[in-house]
Amino acid sequence: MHPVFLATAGVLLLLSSAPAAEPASHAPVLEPDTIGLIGTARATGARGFVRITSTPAPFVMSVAANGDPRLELEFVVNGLLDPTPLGGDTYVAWVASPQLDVYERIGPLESHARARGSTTLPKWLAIVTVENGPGGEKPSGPIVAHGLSPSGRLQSFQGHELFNGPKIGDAGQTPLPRTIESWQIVNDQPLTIRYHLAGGGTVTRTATW
Amino acid sequence: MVRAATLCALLACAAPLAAQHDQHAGADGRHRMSRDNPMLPGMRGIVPPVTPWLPGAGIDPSTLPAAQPRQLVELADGDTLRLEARFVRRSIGGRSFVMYGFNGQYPGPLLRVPQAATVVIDFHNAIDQPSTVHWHGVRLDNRFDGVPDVTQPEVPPGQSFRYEVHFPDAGIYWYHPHVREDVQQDLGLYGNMLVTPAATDYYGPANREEVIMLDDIVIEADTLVHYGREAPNYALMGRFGTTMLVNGEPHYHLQVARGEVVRFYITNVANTRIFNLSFGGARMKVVGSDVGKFEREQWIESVLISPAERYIVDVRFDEPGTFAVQNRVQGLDHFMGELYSETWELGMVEVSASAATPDHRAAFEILRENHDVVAEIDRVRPFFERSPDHELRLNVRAGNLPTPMVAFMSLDTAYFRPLELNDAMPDMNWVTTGREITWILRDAATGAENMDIHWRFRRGDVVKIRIHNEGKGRSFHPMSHPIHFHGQRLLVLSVDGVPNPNLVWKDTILIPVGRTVDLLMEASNPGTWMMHCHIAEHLGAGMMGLFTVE
Repeated sequence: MHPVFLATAGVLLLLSSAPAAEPASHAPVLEPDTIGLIGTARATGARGFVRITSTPAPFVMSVAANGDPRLELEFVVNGLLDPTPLGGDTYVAWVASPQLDVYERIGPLESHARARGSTTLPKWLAIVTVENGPGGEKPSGPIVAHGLSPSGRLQSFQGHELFNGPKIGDAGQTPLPRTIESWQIVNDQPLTIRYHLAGGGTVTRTATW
Repeated sequence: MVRAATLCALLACAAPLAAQHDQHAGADGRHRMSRDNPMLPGMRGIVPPVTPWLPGAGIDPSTLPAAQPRQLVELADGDTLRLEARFVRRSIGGRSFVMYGFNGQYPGPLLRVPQAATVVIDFHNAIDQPSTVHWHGVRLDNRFDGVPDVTQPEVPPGQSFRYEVHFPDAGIYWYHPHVREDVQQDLGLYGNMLVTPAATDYYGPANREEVIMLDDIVIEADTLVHYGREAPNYALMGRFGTTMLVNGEPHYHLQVARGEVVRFYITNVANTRIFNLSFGGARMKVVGSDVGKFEREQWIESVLISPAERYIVDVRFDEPGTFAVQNRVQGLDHFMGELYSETWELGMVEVSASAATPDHRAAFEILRENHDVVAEIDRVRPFFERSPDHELRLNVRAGNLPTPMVAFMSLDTAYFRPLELNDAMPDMNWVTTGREITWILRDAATGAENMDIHWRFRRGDVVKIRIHNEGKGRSFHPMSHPIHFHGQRLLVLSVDGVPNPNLVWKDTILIPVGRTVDLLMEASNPGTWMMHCHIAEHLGAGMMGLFTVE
């Protein structure tokens, strides 16, 4: 796999989607699921968006038998120049799982600007690469634009203070859920909570978030 | 991340209830939902600020008659049926519970009536609370719609009410109380009406018909989890059950012959759960929905069905063997921020090696074009492109919630999935009641909310209604809503501006989070009617309005 692709894709995992460019009028959409596409260093002038709609179905939303959503994607990219200096002749749109173990080819960008396709990936990276021809099973050329699916913004609260609770002695972080009997707010700003532990005693903690 | 000032304002608002919650701690704390998700710090000991309530809690189950499986009742035009809501003893998974049943059955009797018939239902209320019967999806006389304080007074315990139910449309419908649905319906008061079409070739051929009702119920530590006496608990997301039920049983079983075409009439009667139903990979096509057939049959992999919706699907079991009946959805783990595949086994279909007779394979392979439906819809097609006559915005208002919950929900706003397919925060959901949560239908033009909305139409009007379910950045906790319009039928014209290519008449329409759905309602049936979210707890938290067809 192209090393630039791997490196860029890794960075993408950390990125939130940028504000979407204004999509063409598609009234009466009020809150379309549209994500932004940002140009990479190889195509700094590239900007665009991916418009996401549910695949038409007898039901208001389309889902596969396994429960994954069926989505229609429309890639729209402006500012892409002749790809030849980047080592290819075609811009190709893809989606990839965040683990980079699944790739789905959306297809070549018509006029270097537009492609349509579909996916059932729950979370995905949107990428545009430079390829020779319409592209194979996986991208091989450099990435020129990228974005992140709305579901990619899901946050993990595993390491959040809310769940890690007060420090008790030198034992480090002790999970709160099994130890707290009750609690009270002792100060609003900064938020300070006194936890009454199930085994007796209290611990006071000031949140920093 | 929320700003400190905003958070502190929320915390200050939430503090009084925290004390109130603490006063209730222990009252029924053992019924807390406990799953793999870690509990929020500070949530321990917090219970819903309503009186825990299980109807029939003082009744010895052994003194009650055991509920019987549903029986088919054939009704002809002019027939009368006595329908009694009463306490029953239900056995679910080897455990006995005091529940409700119509005529002592689970589900209630399956009424099969011919299209255009009118039948009389003498309803008797033998349960411990007021009730009514709503004939869901049936375009009947307004007086018999079963909505308390709108079409009739509540029927007190020990009293009766006579309904005359006229069935103008073929298809599958259902009946249920319209009083505290979160309790009465959840405890077993529901049944189907199968309206047989006047035309003999209305549907394609099938070897058998199966009428199934999908449900779930919350059972923990061998007991049912309490309801709230003064207001529903689980008001935020609705009561997601922990045990799945098909026709009231946790393990559905059907035996068919190889090559059988089975026509399933499917109704979702769960309080809030959306099912994604499949039959072990057996080929299936969707034939109809709430109020009749689709314009054209369509191959599908699964049936996505929200509360109160119905779908009619033909399934052919080509090979001998066992086909798992499953509900497979994309679950959400709020804690880990992950989507995952969640599978519920609902039962199985066993297919024998002997061939079905007659063999309907050839007819099954054909996707029928329903020209009768297309022609009927053609009458209203000129209205498709008009501007909306009314626009509803769906939202929620929350106040006085426990502090940790407000803090968590204020942070967890980066993404809201279009459909709420599992209860990803059961502890928080459980403690919310209709006292702190108000689910809102808002008229975009007037700002009127819920029962302050009262639209007026003339009979024969064709009305375009736009519903927008306000999502990220516009709602504290957006959620998908199945919106039900009483007494009329509607078409889903488009979702987010994408035209619907295959129309069917509906009465309940799922509105995903962040989506805009355009509907066309045929105001054909006079009277004052309700429109509301069919998540029972959302209805109990105010999400309802009125319209009159004059």
